[in-house]
Amino acid sequence: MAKILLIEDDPLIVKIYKTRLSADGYEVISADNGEAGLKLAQEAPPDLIVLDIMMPKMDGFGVLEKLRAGEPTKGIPILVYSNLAAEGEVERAKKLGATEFIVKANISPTEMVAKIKQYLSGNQPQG
Amino acid sequence: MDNAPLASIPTKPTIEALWRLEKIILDTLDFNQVVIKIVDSVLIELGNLKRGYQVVVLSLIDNEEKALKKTSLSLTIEATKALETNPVSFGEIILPLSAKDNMCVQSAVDNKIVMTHDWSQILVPYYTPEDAKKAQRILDIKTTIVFPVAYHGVAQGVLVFGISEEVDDISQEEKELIRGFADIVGLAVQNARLYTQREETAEQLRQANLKLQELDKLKDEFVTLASHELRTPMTAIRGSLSTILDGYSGEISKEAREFLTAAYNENDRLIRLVNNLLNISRIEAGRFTFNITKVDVGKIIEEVIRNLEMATREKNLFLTYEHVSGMPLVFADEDKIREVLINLIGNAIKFTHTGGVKVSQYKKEGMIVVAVTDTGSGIAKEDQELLFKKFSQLQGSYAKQSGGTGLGLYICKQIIEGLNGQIWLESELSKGSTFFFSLPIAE
Repeated sequence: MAKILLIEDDPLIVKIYKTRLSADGYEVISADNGEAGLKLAQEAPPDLIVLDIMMPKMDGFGVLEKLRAGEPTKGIPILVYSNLAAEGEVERAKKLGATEFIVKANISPTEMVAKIKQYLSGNQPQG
Repeated sequence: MDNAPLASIPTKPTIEALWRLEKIILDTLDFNQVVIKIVDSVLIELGNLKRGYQVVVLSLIDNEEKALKKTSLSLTIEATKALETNPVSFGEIILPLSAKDNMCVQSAVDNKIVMTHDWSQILVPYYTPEDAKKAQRILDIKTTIVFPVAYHGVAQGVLVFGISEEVDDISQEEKELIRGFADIVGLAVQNARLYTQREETAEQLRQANLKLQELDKLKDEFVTLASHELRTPMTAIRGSLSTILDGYSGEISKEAREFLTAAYNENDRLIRLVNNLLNISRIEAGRFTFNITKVDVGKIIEEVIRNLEMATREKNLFLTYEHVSGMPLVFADEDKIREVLINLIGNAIKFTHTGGVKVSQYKKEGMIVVAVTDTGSGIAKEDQELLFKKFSQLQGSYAKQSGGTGLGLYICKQIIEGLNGQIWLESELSKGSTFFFSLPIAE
């Protein structure tokens, strides 16, 4: 089964997605800061990454830039999942190679899980 | 000495000297530079006459202090040397206009040329008679002439000339030249004052503008951060509640489900409110920008409906999307269309108590039209046009049974019109409403 990496410092969000995704049979690993997340992704590349922006040690933009800089993480779908929603931030994340920018407040966990599944099935939603 | 108009024709050197002075003044706009250049060039021009001019001083009236103030001073090389061996501090030389016994004040106020052999008469009360005479002796000035400087009949100040020779009168040519200087100086001082004032005002405006921009940026950063901080707990609440409601933490009682669903929906309302406030602040700041791509509206409708299902479940309403396959894509901003749909469908659910909400889309004249139809309370004709205005909570059919800020539809209108579409409604009281919006088809 596919492996999903959550790079997210809010333990509640991590718990919610671990509960939901594990129930559907996915392997879920997580890191609670940017640096640790980057390390995890490089050491054992997952099939998809959910990436927060405001985090300790290294923010999501920094992680994104490093993940996109080279193998083995260059081609992994990265869903930036944040409550920052200013145009500038969305644009910046997309420029750095985010697969999609998702505003946490604008999507329910059910929807988010559906999105993750779509990306993993290779049937990529538009956006 | 009189100040009668001169009848004689100016000589060529006089005209040339005046022309040179004018050129210098025209080349310089800054007040502080003009006043220095004036005295320097007047002294040079007078030096050409070889009549012993040693010192030229320009004193101008300060209207706030009601005094003549030394503005600039020029000395010949000899006079400069004399001062080096016997230093005299001229200081600021401020002569109050009330000092009627001062000849400079008399010259300026009465607009007349005066002549003296005694510096105490032009430096009283700023210098003691002894100090005035000492300075005069060191500079070796025998005669001093004071010329009024005026502009359009308004006294501006005086030009003071110190001459190293004993003279009782000055030649017609000198008088003519000096009068010409005084006229030009009057004009130049006026111009330079205006210019400097304008520059100062412009600078103040620039500073004020910079400050505003800074404040604007700070406000922007604050709004961004504040909305992030507001959304974070609301997202956590929604995630937790939906995880319980979706059964991931085991069975829950029917009653618990009711309460949790209510909490979930209220939290969703808060999220929408924060989004709307954020949008309003962007619209007001003129920073509402669109990221236009080809968008599948049907897909967004399905997504929004899934997100709002909990709200209809709570009220026992239906919420359906009449899917039509093969609908073309539109040019739109996906995130903003999502917000429009959340607002329209959210409103429809809010104002409907039996029945439900139906969403559909169809093609019409190069546009895709999306329709959100409810079986709610309907909106009176006279209220319909108020709906899309800012803070338009209706007095009649809507107000009593609903909360909300009245911002949602105003934002929808800004978004749809910004995307080159239209938004409108059809409604009948107690039968329900349909809100429509159109978007250009992407080819």
